[in-house]
Amino acid sequence: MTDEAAMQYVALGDLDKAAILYERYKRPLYNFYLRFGLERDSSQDLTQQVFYRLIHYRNTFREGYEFRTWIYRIARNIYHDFLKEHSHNHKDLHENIEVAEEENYDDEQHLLIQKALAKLAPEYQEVLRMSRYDELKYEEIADILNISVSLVKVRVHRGLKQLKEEYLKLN
Amino acid sequence: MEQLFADYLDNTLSPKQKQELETLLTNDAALKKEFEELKSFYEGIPAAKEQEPNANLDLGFYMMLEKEKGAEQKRKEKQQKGALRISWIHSPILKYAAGVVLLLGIFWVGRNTADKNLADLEDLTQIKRDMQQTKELVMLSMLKRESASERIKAVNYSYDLNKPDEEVLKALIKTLNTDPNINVRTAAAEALSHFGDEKIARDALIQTLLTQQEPTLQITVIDILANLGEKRAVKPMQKLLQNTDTDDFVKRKAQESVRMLTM
Repeated sequence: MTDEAAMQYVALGDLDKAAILYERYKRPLYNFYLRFGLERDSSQDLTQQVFYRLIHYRNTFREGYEFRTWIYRIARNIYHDFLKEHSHNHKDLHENIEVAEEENYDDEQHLLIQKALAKLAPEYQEVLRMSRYDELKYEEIADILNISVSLVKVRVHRGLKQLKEEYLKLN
Repeated sequence: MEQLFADYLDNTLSPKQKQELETLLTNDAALKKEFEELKSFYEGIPAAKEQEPNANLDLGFYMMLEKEKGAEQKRKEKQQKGALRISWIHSPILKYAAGVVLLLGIFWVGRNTADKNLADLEDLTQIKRDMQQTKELVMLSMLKRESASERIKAVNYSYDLNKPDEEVLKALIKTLNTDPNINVRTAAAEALSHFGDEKIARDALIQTLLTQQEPTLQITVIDILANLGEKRAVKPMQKLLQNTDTDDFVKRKAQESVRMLTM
């Protein structure tokens, strides 16, 4: 059963099909948040919120939607809400993110890349993480971020150049 | 150039675009160097190290799902009840019942006008009793239908009965214990909770706790018994807690309810 078909069932009230989507997406979404530098507990909380919204806003899923794009858009909105909630304590959050990164990844090179990524402007971080790690296509990223595909490509290129510079500085 | 490079990384360049990129790079050595370095950097980025969420995420999700399913079930039942009230108007049995009521009504009005001293109240009670019996007959006959949604309608129809007789309660209990469809059994459990004042209904709910296997239904019955304040349900709930086959979230619900009932 495709993701879209399962979600159509959920939208029609067959909530058991939400478990299929949960099993397929819990891991990618949990890692999506980890890669944004959140602690494990926060990443689990936000992943849980994604599925809560999936069920509560099931009626907003329309035929013709691509499920992956739809759920990642929800995940991104939740992440931004989380940032807003913690913005009064931005310095602490930033420090937490650094500690969380070290806790989450024991591979040194990977950790360096994550640290370099964290130094980029958020719009570059987003497209690079989504294309490189979440393996989303440029069209999907454009849809999630509500920007043009051309702009996604420009951000990938510029972001990568900056990432390389930051990485070399750390290395 | 930026877009061409991004497409190159994504491996989505058309042959024409590949040619275009190659021409650009051949004519500009500095650009070619930058391109090669960036490409090699990109390819050197280690693959994502995926981590597994722990069991709390599963527990949280499946508990939420059960809760939402319960709410969805209630919403559907409410809709079905509304639909039943409308479809009832068109049913042949109702037409028969309406005929009976009309005849009795005419009879009552005739007697009332002919002799004011007749016992009006007695007649009215008789009409009500006839209606109740008709409703019960309809409900019992609908419970035998093949379609699960028709059987749910029948179960929900019991809500319209003021004080159902033992036969109706027994039919609901039989449905709770033997109907092959989980939604019908759940509807029967909730209908029985509606008649929680009747000992026979409460006894059936307590007994079914140890025979039902579906976690959704187990949770529904635990909830009902806790809300009824039925202390006799503590023992079967404790048995559920001791049973290794009981789902974790059912155990959690049973634990909460045992605490509530023994307070």
